[in-house]
Amino acid sequence: MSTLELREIRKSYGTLETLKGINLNLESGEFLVLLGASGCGKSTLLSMISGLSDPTSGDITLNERRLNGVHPKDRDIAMVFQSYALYPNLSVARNIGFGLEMRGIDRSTREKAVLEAAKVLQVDHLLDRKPGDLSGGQRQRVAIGRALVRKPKLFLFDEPLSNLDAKLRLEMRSELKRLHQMLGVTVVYVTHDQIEAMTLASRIAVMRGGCIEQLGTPEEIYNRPASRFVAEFMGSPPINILATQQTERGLEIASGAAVLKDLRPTDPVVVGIRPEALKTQAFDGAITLSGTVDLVELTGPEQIVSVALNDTRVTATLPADLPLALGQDIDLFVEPNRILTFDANSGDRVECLPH
Amino acid sequence: MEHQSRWFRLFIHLMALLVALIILMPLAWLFVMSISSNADLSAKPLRWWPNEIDISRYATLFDRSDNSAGQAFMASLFNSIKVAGMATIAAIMVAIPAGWALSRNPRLGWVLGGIIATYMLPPVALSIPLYFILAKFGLLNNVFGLGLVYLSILAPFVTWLLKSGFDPIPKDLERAAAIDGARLDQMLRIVILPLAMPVIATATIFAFLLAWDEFFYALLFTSNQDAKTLTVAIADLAGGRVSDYGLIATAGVIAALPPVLIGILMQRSLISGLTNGGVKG
Repeated sequence: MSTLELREIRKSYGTLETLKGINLNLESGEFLVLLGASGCGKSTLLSMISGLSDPTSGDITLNERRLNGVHPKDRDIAMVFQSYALYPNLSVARNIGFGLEMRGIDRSTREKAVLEAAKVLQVDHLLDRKPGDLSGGQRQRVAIGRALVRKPKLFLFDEPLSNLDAKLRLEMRSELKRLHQMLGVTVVYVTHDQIEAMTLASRIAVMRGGCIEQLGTPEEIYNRPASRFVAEFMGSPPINILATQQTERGLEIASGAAVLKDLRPTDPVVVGIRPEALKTQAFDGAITLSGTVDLVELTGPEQIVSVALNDTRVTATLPADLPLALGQDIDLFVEPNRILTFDANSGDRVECLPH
Repeated sequence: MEHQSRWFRLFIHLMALLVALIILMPLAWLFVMSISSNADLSAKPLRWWPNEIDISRYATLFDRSDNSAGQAFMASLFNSIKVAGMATIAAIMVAIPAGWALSRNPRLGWVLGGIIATYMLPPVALSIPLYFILAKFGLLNNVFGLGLVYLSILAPFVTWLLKSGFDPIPKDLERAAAIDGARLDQMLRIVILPLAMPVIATATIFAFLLAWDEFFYALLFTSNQDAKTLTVAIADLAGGRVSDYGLIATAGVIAALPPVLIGILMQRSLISGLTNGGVKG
């Protein structure tokens, strides 16, 4: 069953078009992440779903009901803000129950619902405090509780974790995931953090310049990116993009550091290789890249190695226990099917089938 | 706080003491004058502390018998409280929605510019048109008429002050309240106004003081005990052939009390930092 449907959503501020026709279908229980750099329109899109602003054109429907022009309070949605947006002068209990209070729910029902939501989020011991007395993580839990308590059809999250420190962010991320699995609610989640998107989403919409560049499962987005932009946006360290040349030997990578014999694309292409696709052990059918070790960064579980190939460099994530010395010669092996090819001009991914 | 040497702390305290002295000296002198006898006040060289304490002037001013100086003075005191109180309350009522609207719609900034521009006009320029308007509505020598004039002075000033008080309150709070289903009045009453309380209190004190101390319009638009305010009444005390400086000082001391009282009452709300904690970490 389709819950949220966006059709040809456009938004213009004067002559500036920030959203250029967004189409999306969201199934019930789905966790959709809108991912993109700042200014790509993801937050604008979210605020239009919430009703805090209206699209210039296009339709928003939630459970078959057209939402254009409907006040946020009548949309059956809840939103968690990046700034938490807790009411500083009200107690935690009143913050969580505010939506119910405004809807005229009687006191005993409200208190029961607040306590229930607070227990789910483990803030039930803080109900009498003011938001100012809470830590960042607790504030975020309260903000989520405020959204949860009304049992809305749709949850909106606007970069909810970006104000937390790294360790807390990790904790809250797992918690959000667990919460989503437990409650089976439908979520639209905005972030610029690709790891958050990968870990949380059931589907990711990568946005760029007011358009959805690619919509797919995290696995699709990561392994079969629709364009060079998506490939470079996802993954850390970022994907290696290497220039190619057509020669009679085949497709030469990085001024001849390696040759892809079978690939004969019709248009100029660049290739993308994920750092973790590069191995140090040879295997059948592997493409070999030969170079010298240029830089080694140990992260703990692995080392990020920069390898100089002729006039360019590639980054490889290799096991931490591999002994490596600067300037040492090294051979890197990669499976041909893990090499992505992109049109050099348009950036779209192209399938170069072996001839 | 970083480490400060003993001498530096001493220096800071001395400076604070100096500032306090500069501010409090005239007040202290006013009080000393009010309890000095006329002989002490006119003695040469000047006595800094009177030989005998004379509180008879307080009795004079608090005297309620008919046609006494005290009756006129007390009437003007109540007129001042009425006029300044009404004008302040009305100004705050007008300025809260106006200031909030201006704060949330930066495109209306030119309105604020216009308000500031009217402030540039000297009161003299406005006095004649205002006089005609008040005369037309029969509001000359009337506390409501004077209150209306003060409202026109206070409302722009308070609006401007409250606008800057609303500015730092995050808009996300209003968005959250809108999604939570709060009506506009609920959002303002429960969420926004409590956070703006320190600024509202400050604005109230300043507005009250401004109306309390106003002299020019009060002198022009009032003529007797029905509407005459304190500032005019005090000037009347100095107007005769003989000026009793002690009496003027006594009136000054009494006139200073209501604003001080309001300041003490408002002090609680002035505690800032209420906005801490609602947003971000």
